[in-house]
Amino acid sequence: MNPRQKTSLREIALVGNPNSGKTSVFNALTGLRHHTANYPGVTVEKKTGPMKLPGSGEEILVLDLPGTYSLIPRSLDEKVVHDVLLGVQSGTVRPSLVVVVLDATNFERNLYLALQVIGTGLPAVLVLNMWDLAVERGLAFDLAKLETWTGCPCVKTVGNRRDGIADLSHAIGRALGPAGARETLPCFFLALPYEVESELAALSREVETVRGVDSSASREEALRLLGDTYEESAPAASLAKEHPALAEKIRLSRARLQGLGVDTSSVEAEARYRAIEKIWADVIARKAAAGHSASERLDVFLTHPVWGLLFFIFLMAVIFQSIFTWAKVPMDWIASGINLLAHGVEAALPDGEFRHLLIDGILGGVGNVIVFLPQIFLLFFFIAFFEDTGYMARAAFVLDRIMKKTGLNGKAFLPLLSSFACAVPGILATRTIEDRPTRMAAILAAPFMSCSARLPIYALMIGALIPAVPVLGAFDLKGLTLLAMYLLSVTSGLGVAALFRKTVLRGEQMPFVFELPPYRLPHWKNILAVMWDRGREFLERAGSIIFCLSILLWFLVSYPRHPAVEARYLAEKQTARVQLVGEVLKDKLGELDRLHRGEEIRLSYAGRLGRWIEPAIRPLGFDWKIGIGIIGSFAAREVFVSTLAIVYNVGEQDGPVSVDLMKAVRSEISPRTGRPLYTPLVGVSVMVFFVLGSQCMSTLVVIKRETHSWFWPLFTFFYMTALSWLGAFAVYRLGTWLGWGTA
Amino acid sequence: MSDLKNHEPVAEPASLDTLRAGEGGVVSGYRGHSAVQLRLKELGLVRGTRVLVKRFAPLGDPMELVVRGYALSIRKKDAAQILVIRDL
Repeated sequence: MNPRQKTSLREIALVGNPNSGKTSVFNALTGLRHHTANYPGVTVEKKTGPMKLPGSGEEILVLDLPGTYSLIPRSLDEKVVHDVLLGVQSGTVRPSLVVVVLDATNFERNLYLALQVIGTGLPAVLVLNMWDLAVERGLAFDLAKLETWTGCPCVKTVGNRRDGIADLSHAIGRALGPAGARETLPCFFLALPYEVESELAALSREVETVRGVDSSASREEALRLLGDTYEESAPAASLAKEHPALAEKIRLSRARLQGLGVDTSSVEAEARYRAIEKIWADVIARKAAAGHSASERLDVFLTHPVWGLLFFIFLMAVIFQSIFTWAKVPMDWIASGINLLAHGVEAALPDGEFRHLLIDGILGGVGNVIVFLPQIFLLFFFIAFFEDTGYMARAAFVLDRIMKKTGLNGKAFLPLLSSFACAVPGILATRTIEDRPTRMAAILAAPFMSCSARLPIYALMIGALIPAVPVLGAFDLKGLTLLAMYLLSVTSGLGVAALFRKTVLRGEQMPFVFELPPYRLPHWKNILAVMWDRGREFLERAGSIIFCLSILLWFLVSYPRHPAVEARYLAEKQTARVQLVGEVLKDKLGELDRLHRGEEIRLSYAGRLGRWIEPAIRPLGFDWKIGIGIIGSFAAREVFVSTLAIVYNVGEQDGPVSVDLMKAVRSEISPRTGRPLYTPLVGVSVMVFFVLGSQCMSTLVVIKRETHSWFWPLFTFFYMTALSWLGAFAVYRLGTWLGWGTA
Repeated sequence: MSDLKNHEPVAEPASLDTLRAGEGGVVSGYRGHSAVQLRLKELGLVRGTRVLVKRFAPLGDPMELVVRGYALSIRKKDAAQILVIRDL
């Protein structure tokens, strides 16, 4: 689609409460052809998709606005919805029509937003979604009466089954058609107390001229400004700054009304709910049968103080196990698939730079990207399953008390737990957290959670350096060191989250409220769609960057080439072939290969970088070879181990950490002191460095993708690097001071 | 007659978080002034609305309310700002 064409398309907007099934309606209208970008200047995702109007065949653009409860904008998401509907959002035209998606099973609260949208003066179509569930619960609506009350066409749908979507498309087409061709009903008009009405009469014209708001929207905008007694919403704040005269007038109006005994902060909500109660009483043909006994009984168990918690722990164990262990199986398939391809390429192409690039650079890069897919698919299978069945809200309900202490909330638990397997799916999973500052804090805490890629580093350091001293009989020092690393990761992650929530991510003073929907059977198609969508998004948005960075890292450890070195090893191999035979020859060739690769990496750009950063890491007890490992580990933390193996001329070995590497680490002598370089203290220092550090480009790329800005990943990289340096420094210095370093 | 007057029941507002599980009431007002209340009102907790405390989470907080036909989880700290007249 070229940009010129884009501007000529008419736009309609989709709004609705969180959990109203808005996304399923959006997907049903547009297919899966959506396009995501950003609203200029803010980190709110702008999701659009094309749809064809039935009949005319005209293509229009559907804009999926963030889910919101109200048009009073207090969060960034709400501000975008407010500004788009009022036509004051830069870079977006005021939509020609608004489709309001309502959860039919939760009609009263959903109608609140719908009436606010109608109050903006934009033509609207109301969609009663989840109609099947409403019917199941015994609800029956008189849609014709609802149309008369609201003045808007009303359509019933089941978004995730595409039921009623054709009707909706027709309703949109009719509403967008020429004015004469459709019957117009008088729009819903919010009745307000007489005192409020007379204040608004004066204010709304001024709001119209000063704020650039459409005249049809100005009355209710004035009401919102009047009702925002604490002046903390975005428009109220900007009004006080940009138009102090009007802000002052509103303050006077408010004072007069309060003098008359009107609670200005309640006036809108009360008037609207009075109207809603009237509409509800008239429109509802049959009320829901009291109680949903099955759902009720399930809740008694699932939120039970003992069984509820035990069941939750069991579920988390299953999820954890699955992304930690089960995902390894397909991940190994991917690795062997890549290996197979590499062998194929090796056989098909002559030796040279191009083959080298293809095998180690490109295939390696592809592997680095798709290796995340099994974990992402599995995690989002569980998340979609829990969301769909309604269990997710219960998990948040059960866990909130624990997470609250860190300034996060119950919904942050699952993303952080997943981050113990890998921060990439963990960060993607933070999307379930609606409150933006909380979500940001969870994203920043996720990289601290000790992911599975750190395990090989712990295994190497603990295996090689920490003595197996028994502690308190049943334990030994190796195990306790591992435990200590996990504890450090949890406390630092949650500590960082708490700190950010108290400072930069203080939040909008929003109460943590969420709905507990009745349980229902999952829609498998829906779950698969979520898995597929997340996986695809990851490949599209993060994959390309991770791929490029992988190639860059490969380049750093492989170049420049040294023909002289290569020639020397070739010559030595020739000599060996002449002098030796059988097993001895094979061993010799293998050793020469290892020596060659070690020498190459030491001379590479990464080797130079390692030397270059050595002064910075020497205070931590590290040398430049560890520096090379740290640089290599940006591809993925476990690469630290294989990079060290190459640096120390030790063969790589399938499976866990090689015994040869442990030996090599233990026997490495520091050129400066003449003593072993790796003491147990250096081992702990290395581990602490990796617990606190952000050596993982994929995590950084995913943070970029999720926050839509380079600021957060760069910020994460710099502060985590600083923190890891300080942590390792403290460990090493303190340990040396206590005399542990000489062990 | 005078006897009856002495036994006229008195409905004192109580804050919502002090209700026990299974207890209900009608929203009568708000305690203090804060922006948090605005959101709670938008969610349907306006004066005159019936609420039922369904249960408390296993660790005592948050609490589950039933308002206008839907179940809502709310932290006790936020619920404390809402005053209700307990069912008599």
